[in-house]
Amino acid sequence: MAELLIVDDESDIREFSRNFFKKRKIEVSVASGGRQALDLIAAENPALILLDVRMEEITGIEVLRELRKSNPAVKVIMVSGVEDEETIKEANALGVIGYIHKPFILEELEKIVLAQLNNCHA
Amino acid sequence: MLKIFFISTLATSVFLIALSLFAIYKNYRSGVNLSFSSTVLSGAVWLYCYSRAYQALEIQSVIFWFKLGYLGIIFIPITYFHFANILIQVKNTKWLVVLNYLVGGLLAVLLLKTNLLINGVYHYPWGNYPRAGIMHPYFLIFFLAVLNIASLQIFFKIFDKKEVITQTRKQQLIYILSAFLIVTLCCADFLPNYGIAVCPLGFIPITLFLIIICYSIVRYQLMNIKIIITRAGIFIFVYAFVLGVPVWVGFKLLGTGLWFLPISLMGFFATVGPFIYFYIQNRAENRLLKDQRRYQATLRQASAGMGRIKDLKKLLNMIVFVLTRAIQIEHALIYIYNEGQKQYVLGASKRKSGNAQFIRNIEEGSELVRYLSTNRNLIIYEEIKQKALDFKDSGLARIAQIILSLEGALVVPIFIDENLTAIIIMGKKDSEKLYSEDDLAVFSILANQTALAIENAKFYEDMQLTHEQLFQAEKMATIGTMADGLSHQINNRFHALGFIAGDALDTIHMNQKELSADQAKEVLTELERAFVRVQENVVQGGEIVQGLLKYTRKGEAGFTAVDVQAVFKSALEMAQFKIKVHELKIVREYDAATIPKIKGNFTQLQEVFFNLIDNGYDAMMQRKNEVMEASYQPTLIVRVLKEDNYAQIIFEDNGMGVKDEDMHKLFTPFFTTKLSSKKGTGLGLYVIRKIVEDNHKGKVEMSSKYMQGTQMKLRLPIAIG
Repeated sequence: MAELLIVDDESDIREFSRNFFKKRKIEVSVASGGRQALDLIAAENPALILLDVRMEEITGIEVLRELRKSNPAVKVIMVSGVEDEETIKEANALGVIGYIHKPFILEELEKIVLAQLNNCHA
Repeated sequence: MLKIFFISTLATSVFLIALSLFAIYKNYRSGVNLSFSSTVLSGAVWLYCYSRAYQALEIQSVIFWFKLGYLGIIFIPITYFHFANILIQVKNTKWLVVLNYLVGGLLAVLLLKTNLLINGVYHYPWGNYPRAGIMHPYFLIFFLAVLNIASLQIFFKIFDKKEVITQTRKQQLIYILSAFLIVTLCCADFLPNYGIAVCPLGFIPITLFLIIICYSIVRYQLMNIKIIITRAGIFIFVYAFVLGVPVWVGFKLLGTGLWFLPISLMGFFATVGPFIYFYIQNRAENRLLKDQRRYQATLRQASAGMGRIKDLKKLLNMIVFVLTRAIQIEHALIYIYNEGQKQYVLGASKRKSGNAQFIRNIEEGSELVRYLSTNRNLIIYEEIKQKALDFKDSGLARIAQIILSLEGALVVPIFIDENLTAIIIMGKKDSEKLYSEDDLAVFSILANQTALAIENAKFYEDMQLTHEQLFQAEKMATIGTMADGLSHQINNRFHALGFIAGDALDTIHMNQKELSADQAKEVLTELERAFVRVQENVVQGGEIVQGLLKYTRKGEAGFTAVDVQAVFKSALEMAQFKIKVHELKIVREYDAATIPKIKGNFTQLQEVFFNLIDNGYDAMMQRKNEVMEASYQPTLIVRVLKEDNYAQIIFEDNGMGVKDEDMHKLFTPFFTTKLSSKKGTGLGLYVIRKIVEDNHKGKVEMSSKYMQGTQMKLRLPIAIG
């Protein structure tokens, strides 16, 4: 079972964040789009999901809506650069635990992820 | 008969009095005008008194009026001599003038107090006429001598090689001399004084004489001497015939008493006279004015063609070219008002020989500009120079100086509304002839036409400018709609860079200890991979910025052979910042190898393609979101066909299409069917049409079916070679 799922349509983001968390012995799976993400969530039931908002195929918010139908509890952190107030409001309404604005550095992400995963394990 | 003489002489005298007063009114301080006025007045006295004498019944009063009239006759040569001497500025002849007046005074005394000059009257069939006295032949000699001396003075002045006189001056003197030759005919009126029964028709030449003089001196206006002389000559010839033949017939053939035939002859000739007169005049003028009419026709054609030239610089060049060619003048310059510089700038110049440089600018405050603005009329150099001398006006002298520095013979102001917009300077005619009255009339028309053409060209230039500003504004507005997409893309580059660097740093931190060769190699491979990715992201970010810069850059003016595919590619790159290009299926129905290049402007065409992609996308998204067809696949087909020298570029979408009622509004600026004003500026199609049709001389055609899709056809010229 993967602990962390990273959903992003940028391959560099997927590649380097996976490298980074691997070195910390955190199981990471990645998805390049919303459909793949929903499949992976169903299959692997990750403890934490990092979900990019703006993606080509379907948006992060659409993925979140879909996800909440079957899985209201899974922890989701939205990752976004330029989204407006409405998107943030909707994300909060759909019960995300956080909303991080791009760009940010891996160390920050590490703190947040570790805190959430430890929380889980505790 | 009595009545005819009475009325003609009286009318002529009244006319002369008016003329005399007019000369004084024009400039009462000028000696030329005063002496001229007294000459005219002398003539008036003669004719007025004679008319009274013709009418008088008592022999005493007949003689009284004739003598009084003779007083006028005596002073005609004296005042004329005086006038001629002032006019041509003969030095050291004042005593002669004074002597003349003294002789005149003496003659007046002899006339009034004795019968030596006039001794009773003759009775002629047409009426009474004064009989010459013993001294009359001496008077006649004096009369003719003074007139001839005056005329010879003028004659020598005209043809004096040593004397430098202006063209206008020369022309005036020729008028006076010609007028004198006409007035010589009056001398025939002395014949009845000696009992020779010649009808005294002197009032006819004297009238013509004074009209000509009046024209050249008082009005100070230039006219073609040939015309007036011809007209006068024909007039005298025809009317001498009309009036003379019947009178001659009356006297010589029928004797006194049978008046019916001569009077009916007179009636006949008087009726036919004007027709003969106009016929001969027309023929004569056509011959004299052949050249002039030819170039006037050219000018008229040119002025009609001017309105079609939209480029101001070209227009100005055409004006000076036409002027120098059609009128055959040395050179022509045109200065046009520049609002920025607040002065008149040399817009175009043309000269036949030499390459003298003319001043580039005429200041707005210069005397020439002020004079033209106030008088709103043409300036003839010779005329203004003469006026400056006559009135001792330093302002006019300075204007003359400016015109001289431009080697101008004629200055034509061009007004648009109330503003002096341009100044045309015209040099001397190659033939050295003066500009005639008819020329000036044509130039006035030309000036109006030029004003319209300049206004037209200026308007078009402003329009072009407005269009460019509009295109730019439209682009900026479009960039506004791209801001979101652009920041997302750029942000993602930074974000990725941050992750790549973060992971690389992490690798370095974790491998601070001594590494085995294999470990070291592994770390280096990892770092290498990271830096490759850094480079990739930097290149991508750079491309975004480059695309944006290219797009916002003001359209380069030049037209080159443009690759349609490259335009489409760059338009698509820009479009991705605004729209989700990946949602579209783009079908390229053209053969990449044979696709023709277009004669066009890359930036402008990119803008056109961008708008077409953008519009197609919006229409397709609208259909997708509103109609919700399950199997709907937004598809944009791009076709390129070759058709003679044109490329047919077709963008076909399967979007919402346009309702028929909206079709005609689509190319209107600021009209948009797009639901959200955020999406569109309403300028897209307007800009497309302007760019394709105005700038590229192509054609935009649109056909659309509601709920089926839209097809945009661009017809653009293929680059040759």
